[in-house]
Amino acid sequence: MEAKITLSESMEDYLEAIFNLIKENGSARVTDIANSLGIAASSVNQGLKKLNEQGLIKQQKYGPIKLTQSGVQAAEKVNCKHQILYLFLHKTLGVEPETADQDACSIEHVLSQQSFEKMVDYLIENNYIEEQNCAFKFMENEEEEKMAAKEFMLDSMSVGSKAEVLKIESKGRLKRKLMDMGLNRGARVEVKGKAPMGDPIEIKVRGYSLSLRQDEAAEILVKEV
Amino acid sequence: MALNKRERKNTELKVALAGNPNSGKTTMFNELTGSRQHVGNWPGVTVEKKTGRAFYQDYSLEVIDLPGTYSLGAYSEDEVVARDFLTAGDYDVVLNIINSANLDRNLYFTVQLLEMGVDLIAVLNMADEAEKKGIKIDKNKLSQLLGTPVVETVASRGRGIDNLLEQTVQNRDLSEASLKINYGSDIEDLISEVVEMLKQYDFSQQINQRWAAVKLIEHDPEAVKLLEREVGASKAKKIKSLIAERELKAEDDFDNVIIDKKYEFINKVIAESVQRPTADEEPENVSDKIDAVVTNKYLGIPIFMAVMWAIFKFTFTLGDPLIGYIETFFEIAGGWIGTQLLEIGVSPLISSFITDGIIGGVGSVLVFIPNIFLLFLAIGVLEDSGYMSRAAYVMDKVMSKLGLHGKSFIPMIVGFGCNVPGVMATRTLDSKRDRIISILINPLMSCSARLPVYVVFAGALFSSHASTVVFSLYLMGIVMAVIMAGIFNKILFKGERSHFVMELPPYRFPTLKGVIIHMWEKVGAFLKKAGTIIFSVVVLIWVLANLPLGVEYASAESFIGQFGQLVAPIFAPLGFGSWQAAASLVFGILAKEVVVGTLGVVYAAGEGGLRTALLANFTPLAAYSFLTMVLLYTPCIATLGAIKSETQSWKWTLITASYLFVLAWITAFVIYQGGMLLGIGV
Repeated sequence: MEAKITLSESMEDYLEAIFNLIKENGSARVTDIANSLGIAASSVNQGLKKLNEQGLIKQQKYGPIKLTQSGVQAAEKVNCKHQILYLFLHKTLGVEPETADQDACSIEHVLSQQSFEKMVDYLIENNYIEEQNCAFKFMENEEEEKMAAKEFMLDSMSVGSKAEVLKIESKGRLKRKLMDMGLNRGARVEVKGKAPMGDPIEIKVRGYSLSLRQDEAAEILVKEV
Repeated sequence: MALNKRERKNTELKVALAGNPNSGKTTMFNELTGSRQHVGNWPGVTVEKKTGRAFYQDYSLEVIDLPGTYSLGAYSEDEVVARDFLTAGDYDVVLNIINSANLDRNLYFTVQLLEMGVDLIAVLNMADEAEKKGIKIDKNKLSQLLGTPVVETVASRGRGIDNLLEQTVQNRDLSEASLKINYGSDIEDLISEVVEMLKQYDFSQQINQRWAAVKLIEHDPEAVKLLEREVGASKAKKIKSLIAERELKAEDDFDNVIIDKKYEFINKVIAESVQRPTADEEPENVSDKIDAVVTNKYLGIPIFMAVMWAIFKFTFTLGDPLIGYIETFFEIAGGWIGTQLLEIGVSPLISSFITDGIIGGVGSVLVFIPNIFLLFLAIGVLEDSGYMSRAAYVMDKVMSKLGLHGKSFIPMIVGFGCNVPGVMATRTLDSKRDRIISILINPLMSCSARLPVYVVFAGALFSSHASTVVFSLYLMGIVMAVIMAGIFNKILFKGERSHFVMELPPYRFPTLKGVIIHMWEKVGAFLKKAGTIIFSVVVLIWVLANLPLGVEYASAESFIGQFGQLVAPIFAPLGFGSWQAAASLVFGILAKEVVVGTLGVVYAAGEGGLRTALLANFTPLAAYSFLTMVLLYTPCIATLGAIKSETQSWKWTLITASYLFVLAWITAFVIYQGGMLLGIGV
């Protein structure tokens, strides 16, 4: 599934930082991310917005940041590339650990799937990695990719696509309103169109047309059907 | 339920209409009651209450139109009004109007009514639309599954109305057991426990206890409040903590589960009683085709602008000549009656009171009728056709930046013609928050009555830049509206998030009957509520301008003149500290264009002489500051009257009147003092 989403270098950095923060502290906040990447909180917010648009993270206003399933996958993959590169540079070429780590950091973003797989193959042949290495999860496997559930937020759906509602993540009045309008678990939705300025959007649900703003749609988790 | 049924005569019935918006409920109400309608307000809220009377054979039916809602939660005034009415139980039977072409969501409301134990007849309205969509409903099966009578109608064509009335009369003593949906063992166990506790605590028997328990489990705020009132805070807490404790252990939030189960039930009912085409067989949807054009990326906004322009033209170009006739009529009638009165020996003062005060007062109410009439004709067509929600959809992006709803755009546009219909047009907004903010900033749209003031001043003092000056004032009004909307959002409605979860109903042909009834209602409401306020103030100002006895109308010695002298110092820092300017602003509250006339009178200048008088009394800077004041200060009495009648509150009316005055003073002060410092236009 990651193959369909092309992430810029900095996006991958954000994703990695969030992934690591969640692993270490159990949660990721904007300030923590800014600290670990050494950049301003305002630029982190912009990056998060992009990740949100691509359905990789979920963020409630002012709340902690969570990775979606596809977010976790994408982050794991970046992480894994890093490991493989490090092992390759360090074990086979004999690069110093520190340099290997730094270089891995830069190369991981541009490494092609083919080179990645060749490296993995090479490392396996030379017994540098074990069977349960993360890499096996990311070896090209089209069948599995298709099997993976395509979950994302309703606002990232394109016009004409159909999905099934999994969860309303809004709170209070808005959540109740959305559910009263028939947007509860299992409801089929189709994106009919967008307003001239791109927001709000029109969807078809339970046989009628409903409009909602992008930020409202961003709180509805759906699965492509 | 309906335990509270009043003792009514055998031939008297009280029925309520309940249902989703866009289910044809209003059309049904019009069809049942015709012109025998009364529009008022539900006590304490701004929600419209419509009642009417229908006759069938020997029976007389009082019909109450409950606000159209999607649910019986507690998240809007509309829902609470409908719910309170239904729990009070003072009715014989409820007619639940259902859009047959949109069964899933409409039945969600029906199921909630049935769970509450409401005695209802399910009215499958718009049966023709369902037929066109290829939907076949087995009425008997549906009736059996829901446990309540089902009737088919097409209200827009009067089809099935007699049958509905017959069924209503026959089922007046309906007392079916309330509907029970199985919410799964976890919730069902909890419901039993909560019901047991409610019984123990002597919770009201009038309310269906299972329903109350379900509402409590859903964390419905109104139900919690009711519980606290009924059993006291400490016992209520026991129930609340029991629910909270169970919910912690549950996999999913209980309110999610409850809604899911309701829809599960509905899906089952529909599967057993309805045949409908699969998605591929569905006939082509005309509404979708129209939408593709009307909300098109490139065409959407131009079409919207064209529609707005058409409404504006229709309302004001067609209305203004009619206003002219009304004004002329009142002038001639006033003049004629005046002479007659003088001839029969009535003193000039009394004669002037009758002609200028009373007849003038009536006239100043009636001049608004043509605009209101035409505007609501147009709005009625927009709403009933379905375009109104598309207009909101197209403009929402812009309006949401101001913290407003897309629909707020229309009252703003109308405000440029006249703020009175502008304020009244906010009725189309569903949330109280959007409505209040739109009302508060509406007077900042420079209405057409302010234009004559700008023109006279600009002509006299800014001849070469006249149009730039006038344009800058319009722009200033808009900028102020944007700023104030932001401020009101922050301070008055902190934390309330506006949303745009709105149904886009299919396009329909508006019915003439519906549009005309809608229009009459508006005119009637204006005359009754705003009219009295306008009339009284016009008379009051006349009195103040003519007292103490013997003074010349509006002269320095009159109460108005004296008042002008008293308050003139307030305006001195703004560059116009004369009593004349102050008095003209007081008169401007009658109607903004009166400012010009008053200046003519107080400077004792004839036609054309005003120009010289203005040149002598105002520097260009002071004039611009004065115009800023005219643009922004307290709106005219007619607008205030409309605000009072729309908000049902003196509080909002006074807030509007005073914040605008303060805003005007500050802005004019900054402009005048700033200009003085920079030496512009001194």
